[in-house]
Amino acid sequence: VKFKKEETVVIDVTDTTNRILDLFKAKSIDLKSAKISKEMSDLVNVYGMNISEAERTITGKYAKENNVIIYTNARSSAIRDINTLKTSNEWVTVEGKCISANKVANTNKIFMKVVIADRTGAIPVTLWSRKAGEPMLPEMKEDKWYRISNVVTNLYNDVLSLSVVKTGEIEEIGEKDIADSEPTLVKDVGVGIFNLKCKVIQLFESKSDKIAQVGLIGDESGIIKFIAWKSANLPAVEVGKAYLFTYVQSQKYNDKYSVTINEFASTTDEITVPSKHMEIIGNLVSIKAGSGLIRRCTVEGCGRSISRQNYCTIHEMQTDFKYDMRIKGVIDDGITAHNVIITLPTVEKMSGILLADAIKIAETNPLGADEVFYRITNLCLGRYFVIKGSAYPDRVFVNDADKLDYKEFKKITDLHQTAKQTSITGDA
Amino acid sequence: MTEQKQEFIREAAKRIFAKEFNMSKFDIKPDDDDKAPTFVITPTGAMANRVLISGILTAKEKKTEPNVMYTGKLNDNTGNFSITASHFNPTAQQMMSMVKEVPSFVTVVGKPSIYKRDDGRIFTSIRVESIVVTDKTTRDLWILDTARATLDRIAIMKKNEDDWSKGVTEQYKPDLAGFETLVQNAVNTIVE
Repeated sequence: VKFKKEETVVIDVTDTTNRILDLFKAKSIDLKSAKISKEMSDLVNVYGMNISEAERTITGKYAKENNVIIYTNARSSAIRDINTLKTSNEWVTVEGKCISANKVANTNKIFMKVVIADRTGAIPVTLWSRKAGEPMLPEMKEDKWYRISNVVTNLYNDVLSLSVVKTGEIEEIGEKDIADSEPTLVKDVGVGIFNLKCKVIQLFESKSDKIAQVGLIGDESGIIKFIAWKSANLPAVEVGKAYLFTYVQSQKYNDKYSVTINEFASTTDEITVPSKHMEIIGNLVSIKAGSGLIRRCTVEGCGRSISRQNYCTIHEMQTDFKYDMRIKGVIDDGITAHNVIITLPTVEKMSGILLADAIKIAETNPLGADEVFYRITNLCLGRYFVIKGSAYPDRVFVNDADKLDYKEFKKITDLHQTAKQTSITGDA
Repeated sequence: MTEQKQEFIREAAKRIFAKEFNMSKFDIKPDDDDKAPTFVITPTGAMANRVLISGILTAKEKKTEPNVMYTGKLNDNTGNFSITASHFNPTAQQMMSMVKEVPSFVTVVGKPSIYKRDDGRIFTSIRVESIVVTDKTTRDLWILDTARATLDRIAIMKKNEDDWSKGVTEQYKPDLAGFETLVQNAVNTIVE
């Protein structure tokens, strides 16, 4: 029996070999092309070593042999625009402004995680910790400019980043021009770093004390969830206001994108978010617990709904609180059961109970706030409404609601009486 | 296996006139799972795990033996729905107790089911999830809403193209023109 030799793909090492030769040539060291090529090919094709690892191994070997520090050489390599970085395992040098800089607390493997931006784009950078004796990396600071040389691109979870490994160098440089790049439309957001010009549509309550704000922002093209971490120390955004959010980092979770906001500036530009507005004609078939008159935490920027004993999940027992009304419910149009969140002015309009009246009812009635819940239920549950709101995959934020008008609905359904009242009553 | 969705998606409440609902004879359980919902299939092809009904509560009774149980009749101008609220749902019982006057306009959201008695007769009923006193306008809107939904179902049944329509047609052999008359008669009962 003759075994058929398995066909193997031979990895081409020409580029890598030339790169190594160039690196050493710049140090006035001439290496033999054939020898380097053979050694590279052996490591990659015979031993199956990752090509970038092989490149580093051979560079390191000859650097040691010739007693030179080769990574200092990287400065000569061309500076790349950040938006030209597309693939992983590329050795690159970039220059950019440090947009955010965070020391990593939980591990001693990583020194810092930063984001740098040039006029073409932005990219996250991981600074790996150095061992004693190795050249230390400088602590990068926000708003300063740096040249980051001889680092490797790395693709993880669809996010391209720069990895400052042993060979990498970081040097502070003078400020450069950074023209504001055009904001990306929400619909075009993928995984990565983007500038967005958006209006704040809605803020959610957050159950985490690490999150300062969470909610929805949107532009003409769509709506996206945003998170502002407390550690970012950002001023609070306000619903209805427009901002230019620079260098938001987007991530994908359950097939939905969300963005972590970084820095932003108010803008007076008018932004309308039309596409996600929706109108539903349906019946309010459910009013859930947590609806009615509620108390909110008064700690600056919190506003979470708190218990009757004024316990806030984040700020614990509060002496003070602020009353609010809302309905968390379901509007059912016969096809879809839409989860809806209805805020104070619309609850007042739908129920006819004003906040001041609700407070009076709660404070003078033995059932307290439950009495308000029952009254709102009796006035709104099982009724037809025309709801206008902003749609999000799993809920609709109601901006306005009107009782469905009979004449209007007759027009919509195009149904007409063909005779005066007919009696068809009777058990089937 | 298809993608498993973690989040619970609430079934929409179907709009069905009492006369049609009470002609229902079949139900299906698409999933084998014990907790999987059961759907009542109506003659015009509605597949209902939840219904929205509105009309006049014409009777209400409370039994206390062996357990507290409310029953009632809701008339929608085409027929009567039998509604029940058992001790398994205290909220529904509480809401039933709060409907003080009979007759009165009510709107109910509930779970439909069909029962076969020993003699072979089939009964339908609706287990109340919520019941609230509403008004004539709500009932009239519900008739329009239900008329439209029923006509939409009839239109699909008339085409008789998909497997669902074919299956329902085979089981019920429904008189679709008769259901169109039922819908028109229901609309005619609205006094403007």
